[in-house]
Amino acid sequence: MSVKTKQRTTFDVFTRIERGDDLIHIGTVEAETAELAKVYAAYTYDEEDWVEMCVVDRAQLDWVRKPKGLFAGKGA
Amino acid sequence: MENAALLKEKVQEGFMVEGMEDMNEEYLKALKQTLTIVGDTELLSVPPLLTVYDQAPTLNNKITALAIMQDEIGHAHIAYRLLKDLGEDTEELLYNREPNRWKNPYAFDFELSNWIELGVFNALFDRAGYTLLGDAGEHTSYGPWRRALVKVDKEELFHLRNGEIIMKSAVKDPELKKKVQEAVDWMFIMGLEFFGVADNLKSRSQQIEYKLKGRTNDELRQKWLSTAVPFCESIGIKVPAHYDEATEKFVIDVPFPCKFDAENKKWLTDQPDTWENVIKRFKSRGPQNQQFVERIQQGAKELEKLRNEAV
Repeated sequence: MSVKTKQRTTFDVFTRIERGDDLIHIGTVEAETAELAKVYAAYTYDEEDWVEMCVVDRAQLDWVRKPKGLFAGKGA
Repeated sequence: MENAALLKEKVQEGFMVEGMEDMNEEYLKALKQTLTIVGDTELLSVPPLLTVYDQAPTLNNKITALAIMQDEIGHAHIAYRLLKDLGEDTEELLYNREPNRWKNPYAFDFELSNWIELGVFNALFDRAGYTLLGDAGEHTSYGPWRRALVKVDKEELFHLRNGEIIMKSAVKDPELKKKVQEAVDWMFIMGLEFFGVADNLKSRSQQIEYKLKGRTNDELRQKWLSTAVPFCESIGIKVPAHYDEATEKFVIDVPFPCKFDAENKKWLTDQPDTWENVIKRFKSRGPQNQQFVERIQQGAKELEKLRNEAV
């Protein structure tokens, strides 16, 4: 597309199926704002009647540890 | 040990690939190809379904058909999101790719003729998707894809059950039963083709060596046959395959592959073909390829035009 639209960011989507369950990462959406990300997540990931769902801007995640890459520094 | 051999050995032992630093170029390329086929297949399943959804006999049927299409778009979204995380330009892939470069199955380049065909589409083609993606969900070495497939697996099962319900209910009426048989006559062999070239014609498969999938084409075809054939037989619909007790395998009763008359949606079972020709047929695309891809791209192109006018 030649016309620049507002920059979209990636949001990670987390859900809990029932009270007491783990909060799990179920996927991602891309959106211009957090409000839109919430709408996209609710419509895209409707496979369960979640008791809880949240979206987190991926840039806001601070990693304490990550898996060490098999080819760290020289991978694809 | 060179990267390729090391990675192949690791994934065969159960190592899960989580990010780009776990991949060599070959793995990344095979993964992107696989996810492109998957995303395109999910997305391009919608235009054929749309050709007949307004013929739904009840409002409930129509709501279910729309829910299925929404699921398929969701599955496509997942595949394209994974591709974007791997560095692909998905805007370009979706909106600027020529129709003949899309990787959806040949079977999806056809309009459906009636509501019954939508049922058979769900029962046979979604079953093929369920078989292929179920295998990936069970075996794939790519962690993000394996986790994403939990949703897909649940929903594809719902689609194929919907197809079975439509077929079961239709066969109670002799006129509709004839329509079910006509639909199965062209769609059954299409379903067999989803699984690709026979194993003995494939020298090696990176998808298997890198464990993007677990089972071979012929194994997956057998798995599909093992539920598709008994289901069709149980409702009195004839299929060109049967279970052979001696070999404990399903056997296809017509030359496979064979030639296809695209205009009349009819298999020419008296004219055996080669896989080489089948691939040529796939590449030259079916009759609605261009129209269906344009349908997908239309909204984005119109919006871009409006934006340009506004500027």
